[in-house]
Amino acid sequence: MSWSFLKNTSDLSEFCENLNNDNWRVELIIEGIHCMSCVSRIENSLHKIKGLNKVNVHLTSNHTIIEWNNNLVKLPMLVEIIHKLGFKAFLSGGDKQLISEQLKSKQMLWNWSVSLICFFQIMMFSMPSYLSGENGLDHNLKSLFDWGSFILIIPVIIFSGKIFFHNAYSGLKNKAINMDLPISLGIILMFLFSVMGTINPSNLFNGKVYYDSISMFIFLLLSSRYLDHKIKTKSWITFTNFFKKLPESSRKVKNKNFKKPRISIVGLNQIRVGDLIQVLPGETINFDGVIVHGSSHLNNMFMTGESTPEAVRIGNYLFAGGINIDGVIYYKVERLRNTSYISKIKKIIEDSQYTKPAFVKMIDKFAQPFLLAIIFLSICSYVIWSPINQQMAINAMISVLIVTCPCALYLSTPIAMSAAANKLAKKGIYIRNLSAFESLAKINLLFLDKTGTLTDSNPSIAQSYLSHSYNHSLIKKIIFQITKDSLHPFSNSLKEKFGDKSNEVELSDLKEISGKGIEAFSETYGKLKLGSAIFCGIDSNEFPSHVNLCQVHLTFDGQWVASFSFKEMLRKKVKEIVASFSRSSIESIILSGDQKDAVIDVAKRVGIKKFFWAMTPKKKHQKIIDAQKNRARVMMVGDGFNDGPALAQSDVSVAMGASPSIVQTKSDFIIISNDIYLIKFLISFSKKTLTVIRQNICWALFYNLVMIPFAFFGYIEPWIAGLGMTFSSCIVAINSYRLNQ
Amino acid sequence: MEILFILVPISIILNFAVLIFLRWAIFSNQYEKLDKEARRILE
Repeated sequence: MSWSFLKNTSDLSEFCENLNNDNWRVELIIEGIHCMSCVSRIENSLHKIKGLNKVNVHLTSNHTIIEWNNNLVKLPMLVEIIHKLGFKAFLSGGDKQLISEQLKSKQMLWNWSVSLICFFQIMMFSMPSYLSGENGLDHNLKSLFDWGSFILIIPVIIFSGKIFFHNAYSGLKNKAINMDLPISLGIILMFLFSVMGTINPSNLFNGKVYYDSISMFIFLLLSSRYLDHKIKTKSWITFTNFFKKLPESSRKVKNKNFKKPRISIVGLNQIRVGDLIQVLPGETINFDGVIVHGSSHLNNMFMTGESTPEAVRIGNYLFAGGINIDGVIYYKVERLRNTSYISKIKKIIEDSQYTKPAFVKMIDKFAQPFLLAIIFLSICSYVIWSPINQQMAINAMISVLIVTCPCALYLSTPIAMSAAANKLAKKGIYIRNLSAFESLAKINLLFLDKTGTLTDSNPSIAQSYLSHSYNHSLIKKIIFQITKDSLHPFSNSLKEKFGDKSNEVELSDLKEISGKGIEAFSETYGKLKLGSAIFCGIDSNEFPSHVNLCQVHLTFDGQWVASFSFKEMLRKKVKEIVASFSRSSIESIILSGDQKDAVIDVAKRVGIKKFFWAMTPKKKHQKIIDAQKNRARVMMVGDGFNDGPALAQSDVSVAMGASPSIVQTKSDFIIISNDIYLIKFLISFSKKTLTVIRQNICWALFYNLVMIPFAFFGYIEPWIAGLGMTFSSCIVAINSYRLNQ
Repeated sequence: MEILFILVPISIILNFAVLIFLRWAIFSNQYEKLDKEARRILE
């Protein structure tokens, strides 16, 4: 792959993210990283370059994030340095990453299958000696079965066991001990003693062989690791495949006449931001954009988990991946593929897999001394037992090595969290940081934003008053004409109510004055004004109105014609959900930027007793700090638009809403729909997740602690040790998998 | 039980045959996207 094309800024924007001015960020996959020393070699060499702001290499995923200043250094230069070190870099998210991920998955499946098939056959060969009783097998027969098993164990060691040796070795090279070291030692010891027993059946250890234990041990270990891998990459693979399914071409509209559009079908790379695109029923939307003409229903199930089609019309935002159901729509492209909403979500999923929960960080700290202690303990048990009984001494040594390995403990938390994240992704909830589950289950104070969270973004018309001097259907037609092109929430509601496509009234000079209203001119009726009382030049007290509600009036040449009062619509079932929060002893508080009356009205209707109005982003932030000083565990739900600092400050933050801005916020959870029920689901699901994690940890700890003394005193044969150890990992994996269902 | 001296080697050979077949199957994508054919009719 040639990188020189990335020298131009215009090309950069297609593959990289612009942070500010000349600072850019790119995500690369680097092939050939095996150990921590590779990571530090890359990081150190890049850090020497002037203009490089940040480099972060992930050992396990080979993901590398580079941030640089394009004025001082160019990306191709940086890539060249990586290549000179002997590694290969390519852009992440591309086909190549998927292929390498799939290859890894196939490799794992193959390693696992080898161990499975050979394990079965070795068991067949071992069965006779299990059943032979006191006297043992005939010498020749025993020799035959041992040699048979020996041949079969070779592929198991070469293909399936390789990964453990490899990991243990790369750990040692960096002067670190990892879990695979005792596992490898156990396998090597068992293999050596088995070979000795096969060659000389009358040796010191009665020709004891462990082929059955080795194969079973490796098979079960790989099973739990394969399951772990599947869970971790599931969402990612689904997303990547989804991208591949998106159409490769779009219908570009070349003129702005929607009655007679001139369409040409063009490839994706020819589309630029601002182009107009036509979408026919049944087609998938290719880019993020805004509808400029037409209306339809969309199925956004892939992202929101919501299967009911959503009605969209002019001014609505579209996301790449949505499927157009009935109408023909035209939209203006706002973001290309790699900056699209869905690709950001995909990245969030990817990154979340590499965040470490607090529990794993703690285990990491203790792992080194613990693993050293295991090796020491196993040598001790051999030294103690060898004067008494050689065979028992070896059994004890191997059993201690295997049985105490904290695999299950290490898996317990991350695997449950990954499974939970998969389940949430199906519902349209995306998690940025896995450890948020831990804090979420402990919250007791919930701050809610009002608009968009508790209420619909578009208010509904509570009451309309129409003058009797004019024909009502005429008034409605005029209102529709005036509001047709406006995107104001009030206009949206009016449009919805008076939707009428017949075009009878001729209007000219249509002008929207932001914050006040809309004015237009008509031959028959003179100057039309739609907006606040002051804008229309009337005294609102003279006309029918509703106290405390927002009002919009319509006048013809200063003559009152109609008034509408708006009321904020509560979202479905908000009241029940808020009540359920207080039942689970979570206090809800409204933090809103709106005016007092509107906030009080909503709070009363929802049943929330505590509320704050006219909150600026700064004040919201301060409220959360104050609550935290009183030892509250705070969860904040907002749209991420003007409560960024508050979201960042709270213990758990949820950005909620179907707007593209929510992926930009640094909230822990992202919910791509306006359904407040999902908040309730999220809280109860995180409790369930924590329960599963606790079960996993308890089981793993209990198992390790109980088994150590038995192993040490030689009561456990290596095959039982292997079965127990791997069985406990599998239990942890399967228990976690329940969350995925 | 002398027959075992023939049967055991045969079983090992069969075992390796299975492994070779499996290797081919896995790396030629036989196990990828198992629901692909079921979905194809709907797309």
